[in-house]
Amino acid sequence: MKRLISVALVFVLAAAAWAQDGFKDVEKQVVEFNLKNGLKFLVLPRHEAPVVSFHTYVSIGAVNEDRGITGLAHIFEHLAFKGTTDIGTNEKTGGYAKEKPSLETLDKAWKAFYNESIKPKPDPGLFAKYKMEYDTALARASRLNDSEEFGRVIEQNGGVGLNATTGADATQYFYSLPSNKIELWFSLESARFYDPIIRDFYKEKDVVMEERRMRTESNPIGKLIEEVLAVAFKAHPYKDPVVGHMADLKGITRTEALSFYRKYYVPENMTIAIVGDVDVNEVKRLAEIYFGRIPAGQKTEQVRTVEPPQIGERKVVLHEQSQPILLVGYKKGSALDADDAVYDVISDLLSSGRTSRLYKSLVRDKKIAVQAGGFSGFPGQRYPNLFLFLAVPAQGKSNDTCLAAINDEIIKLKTELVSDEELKAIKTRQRANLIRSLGSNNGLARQLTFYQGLMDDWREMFKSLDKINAVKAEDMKRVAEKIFQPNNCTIGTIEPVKNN
Amino acid sequence: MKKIRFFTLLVLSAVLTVSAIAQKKSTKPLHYKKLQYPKLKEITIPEPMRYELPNGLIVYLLEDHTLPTIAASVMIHTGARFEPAEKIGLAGITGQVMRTGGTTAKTGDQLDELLERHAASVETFIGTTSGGARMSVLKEDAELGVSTLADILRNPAFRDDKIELSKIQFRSGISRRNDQVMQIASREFTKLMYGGASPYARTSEYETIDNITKQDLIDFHKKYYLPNNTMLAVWGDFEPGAMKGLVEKYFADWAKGAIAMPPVPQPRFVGVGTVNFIRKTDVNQSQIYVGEMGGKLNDPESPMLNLADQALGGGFASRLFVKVRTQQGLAYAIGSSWGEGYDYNGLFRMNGSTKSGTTIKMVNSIIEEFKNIVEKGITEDDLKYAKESYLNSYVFQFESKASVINKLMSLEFFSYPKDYYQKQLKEIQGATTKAVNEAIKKRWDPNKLAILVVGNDAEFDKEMKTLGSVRTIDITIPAPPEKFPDATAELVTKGKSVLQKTLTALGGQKFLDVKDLSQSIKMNISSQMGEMEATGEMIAVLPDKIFAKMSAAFGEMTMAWDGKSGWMNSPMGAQEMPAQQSESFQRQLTFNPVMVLKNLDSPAYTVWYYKEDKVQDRPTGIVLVKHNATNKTIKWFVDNESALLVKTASRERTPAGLGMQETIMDDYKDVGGVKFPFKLISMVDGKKSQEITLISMKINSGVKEDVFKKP
Repeated sequence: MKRLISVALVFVLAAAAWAQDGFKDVEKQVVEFNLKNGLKFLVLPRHEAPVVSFHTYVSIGAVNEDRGITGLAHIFEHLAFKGTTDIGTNEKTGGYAKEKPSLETLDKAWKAFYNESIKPKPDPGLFAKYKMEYDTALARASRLNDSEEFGRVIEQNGGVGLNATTGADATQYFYSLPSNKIELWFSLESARFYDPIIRDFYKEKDVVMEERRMRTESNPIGKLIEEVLAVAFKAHPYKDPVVGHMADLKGITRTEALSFYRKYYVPENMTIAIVGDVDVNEVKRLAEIYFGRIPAGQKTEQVRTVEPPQIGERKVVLHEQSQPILLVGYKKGSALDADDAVYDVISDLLSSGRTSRLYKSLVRDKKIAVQAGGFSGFPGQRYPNLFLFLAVPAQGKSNDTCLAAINDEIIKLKTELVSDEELKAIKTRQRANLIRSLGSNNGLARQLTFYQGLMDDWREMFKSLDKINAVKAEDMKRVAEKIFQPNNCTIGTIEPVKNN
Repeated sequence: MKKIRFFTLLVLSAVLTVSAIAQKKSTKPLHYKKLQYPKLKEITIPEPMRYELPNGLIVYLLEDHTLPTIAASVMIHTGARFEPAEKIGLAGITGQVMRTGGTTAKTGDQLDELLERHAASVETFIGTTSGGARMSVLKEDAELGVSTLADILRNPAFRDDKIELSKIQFRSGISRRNDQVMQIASREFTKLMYGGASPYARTSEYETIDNITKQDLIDFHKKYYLPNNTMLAVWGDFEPGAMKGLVEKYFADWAKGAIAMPPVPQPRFVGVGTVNFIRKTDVNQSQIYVGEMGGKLNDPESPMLNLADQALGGGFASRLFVKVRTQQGLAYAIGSSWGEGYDYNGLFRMNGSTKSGTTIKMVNSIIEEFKNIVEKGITEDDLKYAKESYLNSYVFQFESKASVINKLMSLEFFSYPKDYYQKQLKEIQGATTKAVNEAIKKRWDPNKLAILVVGNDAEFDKEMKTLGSVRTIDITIPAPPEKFPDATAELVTKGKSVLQKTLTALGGQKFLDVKDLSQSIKMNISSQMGEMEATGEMIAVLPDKIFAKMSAAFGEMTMAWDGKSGWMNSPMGAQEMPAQQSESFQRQLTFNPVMVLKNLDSPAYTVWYYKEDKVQDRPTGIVLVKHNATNKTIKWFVDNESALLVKTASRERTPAGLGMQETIMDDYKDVGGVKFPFKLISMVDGKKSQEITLISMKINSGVKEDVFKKP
């Protein structure tokens, strides 16, 4: 299964903390350079094994979509695997010169078919005619391409972990190669963003619609998350699903996809990290050659819409053929908020391990849930987002029982200071998490680009531990009082209905 | 640290890296086809230190100073495949509560506090084929980690509160298991292929969880958790001498013991060739599984079939991905997996999902691609793609120290040769389309494919039956078992008085004098395969012998239980009597009315009254009959008017797992002054499974006991 994107129940743990003690070495080894066009590279040489991981972070996600094109950031992520003018075309049938007109014919045929199909009462004769013309054009365009060439070449050269994800804030592309194939990555990765050809567009939309059905429409938890976001946010694009609304997926055109790419896939919006068995000078040389050719553009500005303060409790209840699930979200600041580290510490206190407060209360002692936690940073972190509680009630227990127990823990946070011992344990764990996260090349590459992309400075990866260490019990109480307010709350539940 | 050269990879890179010497540096962007690559650096894979303690514990150590952390993993020969059928979940709960229930020295909660304060973790678990533990600590906490790991493995206390917590988790898991359509499809495909009662497919039920006691956990742990049944791997930032010392300190005085491993169960593939459907009305996308028998990791065809699988459904350029996803846009998720076990045959699956309206189209597409690859074989292009993908990514298999040491330990654990991966690499290097296609022909058969669709058939493009004769699978979660009242003196008296009347109605002393019975019978058996008629003979000599002969369209089958062991002869040959059959025979003897009514006052049985109920609209009273030695209870329904026993009911093992088995007894006739039912209708979970009609019956005819001897 390929190209999984993180729109399902993935709680992105905010800004995993980084220790400074003993990791200055790692920090010192990171080499940073910018190309003239604004593209930033972060390189960390590690020669333990002859392998290297690549991570391309594009600071463009679902938040950059306009009305009517929800899901396009994600669709483009799929399309970025479809090749270029000379990769992914069928050389045996005359290459891209022959393929190009077939794509244009297909666009026209699709448009006629689509326009007819969305009419309240499609004309059956016209519908059949347009469908036939569309199918014919589709088959022809297919014959003229070899659209899995891009992925095939990477796999055949020993690429592993080939994938990409689209989130609300960013789109990320990554894989690893044996370290003698570094230039292959430069060649393919630069080509896909320099000269992409949008082929297989309509079939890939079908694939994405299947993805939506799988993750959301045929999945009770997926449905609940989509509804909770729609209710929690009323203005900011975090309200829309990353995978997109079905009608938008159906209607999005190839032209729109191309404009989206031209506007947003500019070097200024991209950060690339390379971690593994590489020579920094060689990386610099190849970066100039391959990525230097991409023209400079305009760095995308922050989304204008700011979610207004929430002025009342919101609630959504889904009646599903499923056991109960409870989500409780509170609005909080973005990753750039001065209190960002405080949210992380609260999340650790509530959710990390068997000594966490929610586990002890809901799972161990009250035995009303089989899983419980509270996570900071949903659905993204670039903009003010949700601190989201999750409870999975135990057999025979209700969402209400779990909600009451979560509220008890919230009251505790707001009225009592956390003990020194608890706080110390959290800080020890955050340091250990940081150490353990340094283990893998691809994990490091992901983190470096993440902090650069989100905070505009990869060093935040190392600074965040200082911030965590500076958090005081009083900060946690203050922040809890600020955000855990009834009017700032959104509750989403699944209540069971009997199966058919 | 000792390092060995990874010679095979050197050979490989020499073969695959063309023009490595003549490489020139590019000065402008090049198309990938024009690239030249330098030779891959020589790879060294570290060789862990391996030694054995006098108590038999096998230890692997591997230094790794990249991070200031230490980790360990443990493998124990045990597994859920060895747990009793009526206690499914025992292994899983034992694996959890070993850790959560604490040790004799510390409660689980104390362990939680201690470990988490140090950002350390020690976790235990038991899977299908092994038990295990994982430890992870910061370098400075090495002793905390090793000592805690040893304490948990050696001295678990299995405290009651954590057993209950674990049972809640399991019961909640059961209650939630039909919420996600993907989970349903994967579980049910495994069940239909192996059979629902197979150790590789069965799932815990409320009843099997209820059956598990603290003593069961203690016994299960005691039986398997011995140093001479265990392997330990430790890697990370330590000096070998110091780590050896720690292992010695905490594991050396663990006393070895006698190991009694049950035989590894070998699965049957009962679902081949079937078409199956599960209705789920709240989804708009179907989950599809198509597959057949898989293999073992050491099958001679394994390397070739892994290549074939990569070409069929392993990646972006595989046939299923290109045909089903890229070219038809039918699916987001699509792929195949040539399933392999270390010591039993896995499941080969092709699976994916598509909108309800293209369900049958997608099933047919998958089958078509499979037929195509089996009939026409893979091409040179397929082979190049699969082979190069494997060979060029081989280096990643040994990227981390953790993967090196855990791979080596697993090989030894399952008695595989140490150079398994190197041999596999060599075979794959030498693979040809001919070799791959021969392996495909030998192991893959389009006629044996089983199909499972989970979805909303109201919206399907075509009817399921266009795929073949469809079996609809009911996934209703069985209700928790009935709770019986305690056997109070009052209820015992009432129960006995009811059964005294039954004894009188059946013939009194004459009934108790029955020593043997011989019956000639006619049977109608209903199963998923349809109705079948058979004739036969049944002979029983009380208290403990039984013989049965059956003739049907498939031929003749005889079987017998002689009080100690059983045998069976069928057109398939002679064999030991399967456990389920011998259990059934023993139950028929133990709960034979003659035996029970003769022993109403003996401590062998407890009988007590339960409640009123109806059988076929006639009022009856239920008397509970418990055989104390086996702790087994059966419900007897006694007709209020005639005092005859008209029905029995109990939870029994069935081919599909535990089920409610009921037998209605009807048409009582007099045989030598004793009354016997001449019609017996059996039902499993409310569905009729067989009907027996007696043609003739004799009692006390002096049966010759030779009949029970194995021929």
